Amino acid sequence: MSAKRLHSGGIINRSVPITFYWDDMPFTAYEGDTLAAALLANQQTLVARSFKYHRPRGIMSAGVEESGALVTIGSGAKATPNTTATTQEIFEGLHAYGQNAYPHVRFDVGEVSNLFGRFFAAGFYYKTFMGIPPLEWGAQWGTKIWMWYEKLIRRAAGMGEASRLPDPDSYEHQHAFCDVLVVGSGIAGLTAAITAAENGLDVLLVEQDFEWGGALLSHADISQRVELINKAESLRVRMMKRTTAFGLYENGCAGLLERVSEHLSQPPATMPRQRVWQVQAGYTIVASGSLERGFAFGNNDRPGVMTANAAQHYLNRFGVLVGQNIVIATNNDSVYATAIALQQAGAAVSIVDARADIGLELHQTASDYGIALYLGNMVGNACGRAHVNEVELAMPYANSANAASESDNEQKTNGIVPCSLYGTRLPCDSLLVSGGWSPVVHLLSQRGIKPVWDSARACFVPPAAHYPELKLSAAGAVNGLWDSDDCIQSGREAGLAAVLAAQQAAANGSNIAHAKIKSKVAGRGWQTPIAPLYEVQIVKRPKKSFVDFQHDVTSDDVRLAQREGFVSVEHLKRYTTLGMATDQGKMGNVVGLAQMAAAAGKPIDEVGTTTFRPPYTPISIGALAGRQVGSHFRPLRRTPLHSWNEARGAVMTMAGLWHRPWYYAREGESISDAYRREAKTVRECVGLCDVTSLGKIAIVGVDATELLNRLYANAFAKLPIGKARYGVMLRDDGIVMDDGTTWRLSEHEYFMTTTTANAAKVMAWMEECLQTRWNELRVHVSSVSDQWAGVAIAGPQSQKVLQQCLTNAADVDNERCPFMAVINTTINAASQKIPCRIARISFSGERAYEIYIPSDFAVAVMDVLWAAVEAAGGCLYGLEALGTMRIEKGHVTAAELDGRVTIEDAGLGKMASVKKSYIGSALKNRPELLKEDRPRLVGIFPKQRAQTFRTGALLCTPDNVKGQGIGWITAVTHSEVVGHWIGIGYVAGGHEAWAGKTLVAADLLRNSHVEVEMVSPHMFDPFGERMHD
Amino acid sequence: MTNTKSNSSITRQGALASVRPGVYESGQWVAESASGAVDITIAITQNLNLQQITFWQESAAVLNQQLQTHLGLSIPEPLKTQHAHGATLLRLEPFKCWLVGGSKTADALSSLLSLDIEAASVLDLSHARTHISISGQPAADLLNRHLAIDLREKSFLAHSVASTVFDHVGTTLYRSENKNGAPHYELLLPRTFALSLWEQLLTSASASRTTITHQ
Amino acid sequence: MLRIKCPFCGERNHNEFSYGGDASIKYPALDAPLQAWHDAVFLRENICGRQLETWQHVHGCRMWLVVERDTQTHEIFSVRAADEKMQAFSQTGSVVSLSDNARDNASNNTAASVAHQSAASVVDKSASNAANHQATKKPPRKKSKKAKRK
Repeated sequence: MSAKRLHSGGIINRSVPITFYWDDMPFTAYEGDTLAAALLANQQTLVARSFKYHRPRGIMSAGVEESGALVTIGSGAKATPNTTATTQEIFEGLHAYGQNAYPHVRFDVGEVSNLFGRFFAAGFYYKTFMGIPPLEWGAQWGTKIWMWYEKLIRRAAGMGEASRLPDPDSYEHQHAFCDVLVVGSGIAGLTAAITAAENGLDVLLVEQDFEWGGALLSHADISQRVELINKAESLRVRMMKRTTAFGLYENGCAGLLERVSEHLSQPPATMPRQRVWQVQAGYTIVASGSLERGFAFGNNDRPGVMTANAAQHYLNRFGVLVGQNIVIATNNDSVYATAIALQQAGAAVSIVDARADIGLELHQTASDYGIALYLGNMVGNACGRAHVNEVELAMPYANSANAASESDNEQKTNGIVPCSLYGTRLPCDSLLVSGGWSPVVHLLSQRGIKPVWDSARACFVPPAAHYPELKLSAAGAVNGLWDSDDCIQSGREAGLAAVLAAQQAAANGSNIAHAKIKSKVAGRGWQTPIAPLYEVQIVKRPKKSFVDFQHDVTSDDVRLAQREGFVSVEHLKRYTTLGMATDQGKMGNVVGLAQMAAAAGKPIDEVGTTTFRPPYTPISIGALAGRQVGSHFRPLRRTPLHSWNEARGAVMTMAGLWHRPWYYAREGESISDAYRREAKTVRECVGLCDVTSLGKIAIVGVDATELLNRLYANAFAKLPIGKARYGVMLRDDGIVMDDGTTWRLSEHEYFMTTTTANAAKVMAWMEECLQTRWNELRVHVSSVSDQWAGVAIAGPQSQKVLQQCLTNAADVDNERCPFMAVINTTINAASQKIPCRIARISFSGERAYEIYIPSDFAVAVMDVLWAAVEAAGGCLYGLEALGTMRIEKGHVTAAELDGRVTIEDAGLGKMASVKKSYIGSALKNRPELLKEDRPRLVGIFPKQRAQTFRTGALLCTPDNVKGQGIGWITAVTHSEVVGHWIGIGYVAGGHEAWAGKTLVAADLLRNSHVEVEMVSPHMFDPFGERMHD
Repeated sequence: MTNTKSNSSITRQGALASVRPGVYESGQWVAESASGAVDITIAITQNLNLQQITFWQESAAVLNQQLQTHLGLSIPEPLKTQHAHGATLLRLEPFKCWLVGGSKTADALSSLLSLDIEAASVLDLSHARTHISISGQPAADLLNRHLAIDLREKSFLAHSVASTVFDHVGTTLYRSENKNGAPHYELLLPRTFALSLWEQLLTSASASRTTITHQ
Repeated sequence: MLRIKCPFCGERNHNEFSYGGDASIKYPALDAPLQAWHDAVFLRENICGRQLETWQHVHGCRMWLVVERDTQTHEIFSVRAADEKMQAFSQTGSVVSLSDNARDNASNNTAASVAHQSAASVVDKSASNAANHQATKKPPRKKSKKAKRK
């Protein structure tokens, strides 16, 4: 426990001390710290409890791969669980909490589960609790008991707890475009960005950290980093910090997550917490670097164990020395520079290298700096409870005396080395591990590039550096390049590949022949090759060794899975949950695969690796939702009369994206009171209704008549100018698509209305017909749904009331405006004559007029109409009353025209023309559609008139109330004019087939059955006398 | 049948008529005098004149002549606009243009109407769209919060037009000449969605200092 | 993100487009026999690989497009307007060149006479439509051949 902050070094700002709180205890950090650095500087090394065994855990890395230090940031609604302390930027007043522990991480009663750890292997819960006790109870009971146990188990195991409160933060989305997207601001990324920008390309460079530099941040010498950043800035590279490229998608699309205000102690209220960027890049360069991984050995999860590179990072970036007495366990050259830096910073460093021979030069250097070397040795066990205090060294078991033949041995064992602890112990306060480096191939894998195993470098690498067909290059350490000069060269090459692609695109358009580019960067590698090492397996004295720390997956779990037959990596992953925690196996995957390969006796490349999918690091659901939350979940469509309706007491209902008045409740009225009153008033007097949501289409052209005649099932060729006609459209397959009225305005101009639901569909359908089938027709169609507000005025008094409002009352005389007539006229409003279009058509069955008013005049006209209607004793009516009246009349809506019914089924068969061919006329005559017993539109009365029944109920014969029945009910209402509840629906053969018989309206879900009678769908005013003169 | 002519003597109530003019910053309305600096200016057009002109391949030449004679405009190239005498002609579809604004378009339109319907037709859409103009340095960023059009200086020059989606709603965007040295964009929103989209736009704009006016 | 290069609007995100259906189908004439319509509407291939499909640029220029797309990889090989008149008129310069041609052809004609010419052709066309209608109810398009799949 002797990590400490040094007096100098690093790029933190020591002049700005910051107070933060760890489990509510105040500590001091400096500007530029991560939470992990600040915790280390304050000797807080036990910071978490593990998922399953509640084992103490510490800080294991210095980046996104962290699998130990998961903490909760903030509290209450703002609590963010499972945040990696290694990436969390410090700010004044930051509150961080340990998680999955009671009462706190330093003393956790849950640790008792570690004692029973041997029982908790992979699959333990399923095997133990599913189907017991006793087994004879059968599957049904067993499952219930499992579900009961599961709750307890879930409580004991776990990570941080998400808040159940609504997310108080805001998020937003942003689109961006660039010529080149560079992911990662390490030496390769910066070089690539500079190269592309020097050649005139518009470059966007993104970095997940809050400092530029990537691996350069671990270097003591900052000059190269600063120089590259300055150069990129001077070339106007657009640079985004705190921004993670979480996904690469087809066609140059990238998803970025920008953490906008998470690092601020008092962010402005309007500043979003995060911003998701959808970037469209002409070329993408992935310079995502590589991550150092550990290897499995006894108690390799103890606080105080971390990657070697992390220690160098803490030293050179934050001025934090992770220990005084440091042991480094390695199998490669990369730790030697770290060891020297730590030794120079005042620590005593020993290196335990699995390789017996590391070459003269390294050997000499280590000796020069006074670093103790244990070659041909491995760390077999980490001792200490809350913190590592000693390591036990191990040597290969079979021939521990003969270090020379070690490499043969390793090849045979595939890096899983059976060892014995031979008694040497090294006291220490920090154990640094390096088992090699794993390139961050995640983004490339997302684009379908399968990484290949490179046994010489002991890692998965992309098969090539450049993918011109994907407009993608990989630059730097992601290609398995460990040398900084190689990375610079690789970055430059990637930048030039982007330039070449841009030039080709400019020259040839998008269909370029992709020139194959072959990388010239060979990769110098290390002086002494890496010795594959994934697990130090202590023979005879097995120790718990971890592969996936976040999910507490051990080496034994991996072997157990293999023994139980989970031999595919994808199965291994799902059975053990290896690589399924928040780090997605960034550190553990390769170790697990190697163990799997060894257990199966195969080389690693035959086992393969799992496919990485977005997101690269966790991303909050809120960020994906962006601003489309709450009332903006979807756009709201308002009629021009929206506020006018609301001001007059309208209760709104959703109709697609529209809000439509449902009913206008008066004092003390329920919805049923209101709609019955409204319908009654319309039938007896007059009512006014906003029908703006109907689709409206302007059809203009010399072939407009011909087009309508082909689209509608009924005849349109002889519709006179100044008349409207109700029409039904079929689909190609002969089923009804939509209905509505179409008004002939002049020889070549029509105005079509569609149902609210099908407005967009009918418009697209007409365009499809005109452009893909009948492009000889000269017709333009245009949506005018937004141009016109629509109002229906209906009831016996409608003519009289309307006349009061018109400039010229005679325009709606019975002679000039008979049933189905269309007129252009003006309404006097605000001492102006406002133009409007009126048709005498009726949905309610009463004498009625549909009035279309240019939208911006709708309120002025409505004021006038309403004043007249109100004076006449009329009312405003909503969708519910409209529904009642149309049910009474048997008029169909989308509920009846549900995509399954023919024009005959809907009772409109007589309208279909037999003199012409039209869309659907051939296939509507399919034998199946002509059957007499098809369900036909009917009216439905309850046998006991006082009873009611439900929409959606099935119609069954009384002797067979089950299954699908012989029909269904589409709409039900209480009819004042009929005097009881009525409905419409479909029944096999139509109402004539069931005259005088009783059927059952069966609501099988609620088990309520009502006896009903089938009647004609025209339940009120069957001959339409009321709407004619 | 005739199209409804825009008549300035009748008070029109647009979809955004209720929007309060003023200066909006950090989610609040602030006094205009607080600081001189304004990042974005949004102007809501009150009496939009929007006429759709449709034509055919064979009649393009005739239409062009008429447009030249009466408005000093010709049918723009795809994705381009033409501007003269306060009116802007947008090419939205192969055979459809929109004429936005302008007070002297009545003559031209009546002349177009006199062409045979086979040659060209005019449709009044003045009430079908809500027009707002957005200018200022952060205007492109603001728009890109909602629509996925490449608005980089080199890609979307003045006199460009694009029909696209604004939060899933079909919308037309075009760019005029810079205003006070800053980019100047114009949006045509479907009238019935305009208020909903406006609310979204204003939320996104709250990070900037925004002046809202009616014009 | 699927990106579709609309001939009129340029390359756009797929959420501006809506998918139509199989573009290789030749729909029979409206008065074609039931069997022809049956085959066109119900007999569909389930292609793994390149297929022709219709899309509408519904939030852009509203053109119906024929897109050649690989159903496995999403790669798009070609996009054109379903209506060749629209395709021709979607290119930059098409208005200018067409105007020039029209002017050349018309030479000394005034605009009015050009308008008159087109009006005349309209009369002819509607007359022939009417004739069709009365005689055989046959729409002008005569492609009643059974749809053949490549």
